[in-house]
Amino acid sequence: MTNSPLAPLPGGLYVVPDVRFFFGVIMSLAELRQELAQVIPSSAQPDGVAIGWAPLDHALGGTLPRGLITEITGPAGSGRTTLLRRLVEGAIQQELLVAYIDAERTLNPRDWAHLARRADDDGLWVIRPPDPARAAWCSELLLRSGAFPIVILDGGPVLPHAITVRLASIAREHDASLIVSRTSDSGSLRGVTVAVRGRTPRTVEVEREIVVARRLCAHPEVPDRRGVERRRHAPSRYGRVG
Amino acid sequence: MWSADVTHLPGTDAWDDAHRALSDGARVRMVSSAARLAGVTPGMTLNAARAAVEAASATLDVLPWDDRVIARAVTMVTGQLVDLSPQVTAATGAPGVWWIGASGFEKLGGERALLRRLLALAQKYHPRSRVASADTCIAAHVATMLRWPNNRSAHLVPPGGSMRLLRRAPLTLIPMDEELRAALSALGIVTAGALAALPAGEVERRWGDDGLRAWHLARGEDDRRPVLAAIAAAAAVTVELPDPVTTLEPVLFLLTPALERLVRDSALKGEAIAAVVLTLVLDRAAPHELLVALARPVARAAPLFDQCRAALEACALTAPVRALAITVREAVPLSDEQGDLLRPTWKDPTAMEGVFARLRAGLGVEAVVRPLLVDRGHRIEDRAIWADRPASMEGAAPSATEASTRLLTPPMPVAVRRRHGKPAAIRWEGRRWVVTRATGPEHLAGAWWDQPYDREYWYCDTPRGSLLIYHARGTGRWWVEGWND
Repeated sequence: MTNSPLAPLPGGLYVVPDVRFFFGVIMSLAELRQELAQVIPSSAQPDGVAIGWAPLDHALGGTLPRGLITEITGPAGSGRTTLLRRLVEGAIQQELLVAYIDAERTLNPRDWAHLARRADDDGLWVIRPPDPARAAWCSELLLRSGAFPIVILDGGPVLPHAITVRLASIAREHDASLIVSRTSDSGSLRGVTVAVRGRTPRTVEVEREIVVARRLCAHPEVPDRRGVERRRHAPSRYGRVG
Repeated sequence: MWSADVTHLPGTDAWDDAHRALSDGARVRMVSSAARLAGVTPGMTLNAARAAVEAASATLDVLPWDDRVIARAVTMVTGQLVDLSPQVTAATGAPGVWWIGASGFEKLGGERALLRRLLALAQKYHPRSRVASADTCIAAHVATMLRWPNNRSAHLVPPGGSMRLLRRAPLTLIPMDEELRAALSALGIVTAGALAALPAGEVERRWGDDGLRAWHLARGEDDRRPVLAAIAAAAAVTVELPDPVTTLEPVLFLLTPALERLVRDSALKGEAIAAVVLTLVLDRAAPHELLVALARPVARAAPLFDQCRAALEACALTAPVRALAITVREAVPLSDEQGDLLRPTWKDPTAMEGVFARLRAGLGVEAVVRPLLVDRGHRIEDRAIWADRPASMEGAAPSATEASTRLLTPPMPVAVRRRHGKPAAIRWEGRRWVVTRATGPEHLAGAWWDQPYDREYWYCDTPRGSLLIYHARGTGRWWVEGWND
């Protein structure tokens, strides 16, 4: 504490003359935050973002890791998008901004509308590049801006190793979580694979919890008559009644 | 006052001490100091240059002249000079020479302090770089070429002293046609002072406009200036490129230091920038102006750069760019908003706007969107859209066990085989999907006066996932609209 340039002023105030040249070197926000956490005892903070959904939190080791790439893979229909929706819901509940890159442009806005209902800038932002190949560029820009603690790259071509390394480096520099979601040809429809890339990589299977498909027409004045049409045309086992 | 900063691009002492020349194939473009002492001058043919060096019992090392490498180096140095002065012009046709505006430095230590800073920067590239400040470009340039006591590398010509300086300068330092120079030499006129002493009418009668132009220069009357004759406003930066460019890359390279300078100057005045005007000075075309207005004033260069870059990338260049001028159109007092570095959820709104501007410029305005509930009908695509405006309707959140849907836009045609009225198998993109369970139908129909559709939707579970298909009862065709994921 005595060696720290952050000498407290009367009243417990700290003065940082210029953030960029703090400690005489140019620091990233994450580094500066780390330094501040050391000198200010009350600034203890979790290492990651807790999502609040037991299977996912368990898979991720408690929290969504910051500064790392988390990879979610599974075949189409395995519940990948639903898992991502749960993850985004959890993040937004904690007032985190989320940038979602929908590279395949197949996301259904109805399933996500409740996550961006406020008129301000909070919540979910979706980037829909006209060409899936631009998705990696989008994720690099979003991470580099430092505005989004969570960036989701959904779909698009498989990232080359060099780009993955670069994105991981930018995510680490800006203390952001990058979630890469892609379709795999193999795997079962019962769940998806969540893999955290880093010094201690870990891979966990998350079972899907989908029970029902969403009803197509959700208008409150239209009653749910699924099956009525089929029953009208199908021959009755008991013959015509009355 | 203007100062000229002269450096040699190759940039090392060792390079200058050897007999070297850069050549475009036929003629010499640039020479080292040793080669110059041996009598080699830019413009000589290669054979003549080699002969001159061989006469001094040495060999001329000829290197190829690469315009791209030179231009890149000049642009890089120009970007660094912008940090020292808001007006920087790389001299056309003379790489290694810059005209730099030296007005308005009274509160920053005056021109002497500017010269010291310029020299320190120039000497990073060449230890024998020289800088000078004078009323006119010609006087500043000549001052860098003359030998001064103690081998001084920086020289300040006092106001009104240009003509006095030029009086003793050799005529070779005054730009003019080589034939004219030879004619003057033949008449014994070898200094600028001697030329300036001739009657103007006589010079014009003998050598026409070229002669008169050289006569004016010899008298220190030089109307050449960097891009702007004067700085219109304090918050403006002007950068001229050595050669007109057709790509934005060099412009963007210079944009960063220019914006950093503007932001720093504004912050010193306690202001944040709310709008800037980028003026692209085009070659033989009217200047192109771009207004970059920010939703929130910024006091950092990075988000401002993103917005400016997005604006530049969105504009189509109709002619090569010669110079870039950035003017602060609107500035507001700095607010006391303070970010919380210890709070991981804290976000920088200006950074977000900057990256969105860049994404919209690169991908189109519809690339950055938010989900928006609408009430256009009962079809799945009529319930919500992607829009770049905030939501006005609130919808119910799907329950945790409800699946998310992926939608194909537009739907794709499929062939469906039915059994007992329900889909039993689907053929889509050449693959056969056996339906293990079909849930439905959900019948949706539009009003006959508005949207005359009539569809029967089915969720079809297959070993490879759950497809959402519908039967258009009007046409009898089947379509796949998406799948549960």
